[in-house]
This record gives sequence, structure tokens and C-alpha cells, in this order.
Amino acid sequence: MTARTRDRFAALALGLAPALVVGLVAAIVVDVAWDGLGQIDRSFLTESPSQAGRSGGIASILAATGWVLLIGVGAALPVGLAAGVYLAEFGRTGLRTVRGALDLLAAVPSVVYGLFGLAFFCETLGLGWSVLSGGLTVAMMILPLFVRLCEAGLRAVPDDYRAAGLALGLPRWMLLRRVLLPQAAPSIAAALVLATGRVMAESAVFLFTAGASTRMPEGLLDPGRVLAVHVYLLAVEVPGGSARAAATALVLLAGILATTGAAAALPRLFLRNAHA
Amino acid sequence: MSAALPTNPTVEVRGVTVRYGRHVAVDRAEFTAPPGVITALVGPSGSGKTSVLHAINRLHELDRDVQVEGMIRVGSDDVRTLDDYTLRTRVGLIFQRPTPFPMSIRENVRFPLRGHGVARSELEGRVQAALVRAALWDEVKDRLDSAATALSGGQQQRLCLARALSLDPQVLLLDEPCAALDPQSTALVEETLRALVGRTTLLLVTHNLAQARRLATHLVCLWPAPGGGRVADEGAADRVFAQPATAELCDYFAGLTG
Repeated sequence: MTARTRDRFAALALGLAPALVVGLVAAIVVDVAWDGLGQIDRSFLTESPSQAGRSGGIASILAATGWVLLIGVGAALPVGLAAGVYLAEFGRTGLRTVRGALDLLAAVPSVVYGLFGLAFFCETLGLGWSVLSGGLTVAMMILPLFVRLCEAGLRAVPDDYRAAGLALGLPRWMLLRRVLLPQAAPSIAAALVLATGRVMAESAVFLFTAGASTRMPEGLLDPGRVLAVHVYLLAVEVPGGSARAAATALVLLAGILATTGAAAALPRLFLRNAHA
Repeated sequence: MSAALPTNPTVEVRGVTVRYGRHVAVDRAEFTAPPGVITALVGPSGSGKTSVLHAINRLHELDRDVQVEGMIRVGSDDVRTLDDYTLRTRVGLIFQRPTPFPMSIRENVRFPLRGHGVARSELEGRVQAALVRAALWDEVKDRLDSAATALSGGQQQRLCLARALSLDPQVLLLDEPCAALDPQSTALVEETLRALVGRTTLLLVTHNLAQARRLATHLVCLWPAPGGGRVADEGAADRVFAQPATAELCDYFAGLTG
């Protein structure tokens, strides 16, 4: 076998793996779309569920999902960004411990976060089953990922800028604000979008903390059912709910695909604007 | 806040050892850079030139593994006793690779000025003065708000020079500032450095012996050794080039080693 043939064989063999991955994604999308696409019309998106979700739409489900996204990402952003900046730029001692703790937190199953959220936010703080309890619990869950991605984004900024800033006697805070954070902004934005996708896909945390009410949440302390929980309950507990489950899953997939696409596109968009 | 440094201070390096972990880069270096002239630091790779230079404005503090022993005085002040922001304002540093910030040409010069609290009303005047001193004004005066990263390598390096000069440093450290530049850009940078003689103490690390001959009044030769780079000779540039203290230096200057 010649070297060229060997290379071609290797390329073909290795190419099968990504083809399999893409094929799996396509299979899921086609399967869900096959069952659910026919159920989606305007009223599906504008009406709240009725008859345990067999009819009506998912307006209240979308609203609850929006609430927990807003609360979860809104709470995780300042804490996660501050922690990421500390780890990348200011931290001197105990960094290994902090990173170890973050990695441990990232590995904790979401159902455990759910149990903690139920005990702490719902019961101890008295917030009950609510979008606020759900949002705060999911904020804890996405925090480790967000912190590490923010840290990685800052570390990817060339050290030349730090050295130039120090050589000019500039305060590190000023260099961070004017040079390092703007340079890391695409990575931080992508981290935010990825975290958003993770919140959208979560179900266990919200089953424990936000409840499963299909009513429209009208305040932070109202319970609400998020998309992933709606899919689960329709598919498992509501006879005749599978078509609506598939339709909801399709909306959820569209949301996750949109956020993932945004995560991939944001750095390119930032770069294009930076060079414009 | 530290005491003010005199204009044209002498830079004294006394028994300075620089360690990177267990590796000794510089071993008890001793030399004096006279005030207001260009002192060139020459020597083969690994002789510790850059390590000494970075020790002068304590830039090694960026790296936790680096240890510096010995004393460095700028004027009458031990650099260890100076507040680092003040020290680095007065002891500027130009790197081998141009490091413009990812902002406009104007902002690159304004940014450090604002960082050091220069009044808004003075900013434009000081930006122009710095760009003129770095021989860049004529080339960029019509596009000050363009991205600095769009400039050529030579222009970027002169922008970095302007950025450092905007703070009126009394000492300017130059770490092979022309290593990545073409001869034309090199000539412009050298012209700028000559213009600073008399008002600034300059320490120039260079591998380019011809450049050292062209610019330096004073010469410090570092030589690599297993226990760390050491000063092999120091003195008036004409004397050291004509009568180097060691046979190795003689061969180095003749281009037989290096």
C-alpha cells in the first residue's frame, strides 16, 4: 500500500466518525419534526396548554422558560464573569482549589442541583416552587461552565497586551476594562450563549424547583413549567400527548440550535466588527 | 509615592542575579548606564540581556517564577522602593515585537496618558508631540482614528515608541526594537533614539553590532556561562569595540562567533 493510499484510507476511516455524529443529529431532528411539525401553527405558540397539554399551545411554557433563562443567566453573568476575571487576571493564591471546586461543581448531576434548590431556595428561603427558585438554581448549575469559559477567553488574549500595559505603568483594572475584556468579549458572549442553551435543555432542576404548572407565570414567585419539563410530562404522563411533546421538542431544538449557532457566529461577528 | 527622579538619571546595576525557577539567567551583573546617552547591551543569545533589562523596570513581576537579587538604582532610588506605576512611567520599555493595543492610533497614545491622569485638555497636544518625536506624525496625521493594527510593522513599533515617549520617561529601555523592522524603519527608529540623547537615558539591547556601533556611547557586553550570563566587559563603546577585555569578545565582534 502506498503512502498516498494509506492517507486516503485513514482520511476515509476518520471521516466516518463525524459523518456518524452529523447523521445522529439529523436523525433526531427528522424524527421530532416528522411527529411534531404538523402540530405547530400560530395558536400553538400564542395559546396556553389545556387538557394537560393535549390541546392548546405552549405560550405559558415559553414564558416560564423565558423567566428562568432571564433569572438564571442574569444571576450567573456577573458572578461568573467576576470569578473568571479573578482566576485569569488577579488570582494569586488558592487557584488550584478554586478550579478543582469548579470542576467538581460542573460534574454534579443536575438532579442534585435540583434537590439542593428545592431544599434551599424553595423551602429554606421560602421562595416555593417558582420561576425564581428555578432560575437561581440553574444559575448555580451553569456557573462552573461559565466561569471556566470566561477564564479561558481571557487567557486566550495575548500576553503582549498585559506586558505592554504593565510596561506603561497602567493600572491592571484599566487594562482589563479597555483592552483585555473587549478582546475576550467574543468568547464571553459565546460562553453566555452556551450557558443559555444549557438552561433551555434542562429539565430535572426545574421539576424540583419551578414546578410543573401550565398556568402563565405572572411574577417571579409564580410556578411555571419549562419546555423540557413539558416535553417530558407530555411524553410520559399524558396519554395521547406524544404529538404535542414532539412539537414542543421541535421548538426546544430550534431554540437550542439558534443559541448554539449564535455561539459559533458571535466570535466571527465580533472579529469582523473589530477589523471594520 | 516615591521621590521624583532626576532628569537623565544614571542607571546602576549592582550584583544582579535573575533566576527563572532553578535556571540562572544572569549572574551578579554589574554595570552603570551613564545619564543621557545610549548604552548598548550586547552579547550572544542566552547571555541575559533581556532579563537584565526587564529587571530594571521590574517587568519580571508578571512571571511568578522569576526571582531577582541585587540592587538596581535609577538616579538615587532603588527600583524596589519605587511604586511600580511610577517606576514604569519614568522607566519606559519598548519590546522586540510591536505591541500596539487593539484600538485607534490616537487612542493608543491617549490611553496611557489618561491612565496616568493627564488632563483631557492636554491630551491632543501630547498625542501630537509624541507622534512627532517618534517620526510618525506625518504618516498618520490624516488617519489618527484608524486601527493601529493596520499600520506596518515599522509604523507599529514607532507608535509604541510614541506611546512610551508620551509619558516623558527619564529612562527608556529598548529590547531589540528594530529586530523585526526593515532597514528604512530601522533608520527612522534610530533617528528617534538619537534625538532623545541628552534628555533621556537609553539602554538598548541589540544583536546588531553595527547598530550598537552607530548608536551607543557606552557598551555593556554580557557573555553566557553555565552559571548564568555575566558582564564580560563594560566601558566607552569605542574602547570596548577596539580593545575588548576577552578573546571571546574579540571573536564575537569580528563575527567569528555569536
